Amino acid sequence: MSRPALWTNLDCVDADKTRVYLERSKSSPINLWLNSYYGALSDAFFDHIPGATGRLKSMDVNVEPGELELVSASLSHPAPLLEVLSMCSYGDSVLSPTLFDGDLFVTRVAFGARCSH
Amino acid sequence: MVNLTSFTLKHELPISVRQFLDFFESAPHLREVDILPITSISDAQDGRLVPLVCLQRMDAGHHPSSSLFNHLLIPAGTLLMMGVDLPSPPIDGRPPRFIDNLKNLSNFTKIKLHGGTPYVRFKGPNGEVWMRTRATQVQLLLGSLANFDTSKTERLRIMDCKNPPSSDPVYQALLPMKSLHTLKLHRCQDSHIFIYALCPSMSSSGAMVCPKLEQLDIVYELAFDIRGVVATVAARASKGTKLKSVKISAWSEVVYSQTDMLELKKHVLDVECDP
Repeated sequence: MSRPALWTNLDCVDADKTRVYLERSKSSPINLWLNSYYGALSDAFFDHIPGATGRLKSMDVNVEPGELELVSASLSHPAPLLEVLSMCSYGDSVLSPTLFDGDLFVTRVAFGARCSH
Repeated sequence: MVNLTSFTLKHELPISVRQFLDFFESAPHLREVDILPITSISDAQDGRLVPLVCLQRMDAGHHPSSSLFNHLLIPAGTLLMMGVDLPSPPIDGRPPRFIDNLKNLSNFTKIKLHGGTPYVRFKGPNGEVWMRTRATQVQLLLGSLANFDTSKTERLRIMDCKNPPSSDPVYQALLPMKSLHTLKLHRCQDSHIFIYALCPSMSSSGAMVCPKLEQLDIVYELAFDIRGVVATVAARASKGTKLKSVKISAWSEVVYSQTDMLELKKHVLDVECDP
């Protein structure tokens, strides 16, 4: 429990587990794995991850098209530590322009009617 | 995004070339890129070139567009992967200016062509290209070779080709391979087509196909007539391009005639037949 590095891999399936992992990992960079197949888009993500965006070292998102917009809109803080980013969502998906404080290329320009302002 | 080393985006929004280039510039340490190539909006300034200096592997998705590659400087050593609709060119659009930018697309010394999966893989000291396709016809796979310089290719391996090609595409594919020294035909339904293409009599001009060929390696499942190999190696030897090694392996019990074997050994330094 005293080793923050052991608590840095998060799947956001359970809210309590996510909270505990974030606390025990202290300020260590975190690895986030979101897969809607496993029910990852729950309170566990929305309540705890947005405030920890600055600690994201890797983020692997595989969600339904409508969910990508929710995820990206929730992560509006910069992610200066981010090294690995994977976003997969097929169909008519939308990325929020505020993702990582607008630091990702797809957020710098408007997507017209599809943009989620 | 300055620390980003790996980026995957599989997302069905149209993302313009300029957006991709802006992003690549903001992520100078990218080593791995995996994108769906939705780059239909070609809005990049003419002459803009973004170097991806750390890139090691890029999967450009299915049938990428030259509108993106015309603006990327891909370093030597990079593995470039893409899906291809054959017989169209691997990268949509011309002129082929991208060839100058993609430093990994030169000096391919090895080519592997697989009819089962199917794919064509080019490899050399400057990098690799792996083209996935749904086309299983060997002649379409062979036709894709024409998009690249194969004059430095030393090894060609053709595997699991179940649809025998006609002789002309085979001849046309082999003709530019002036440096080829090893040809491996593994589990191809009709290896004879390739063997005949190597026979000097195939060429009306008398040009020797693959003049540096030294090694022929054949693995077959079905009926195979060794006399085609004997005729070809004899004809090549008579023109001064004697093969050093011929290896023939069968998946079933085969008996080769003594006469054929003696004739083969007369024209090749090392002959190995198994069984």
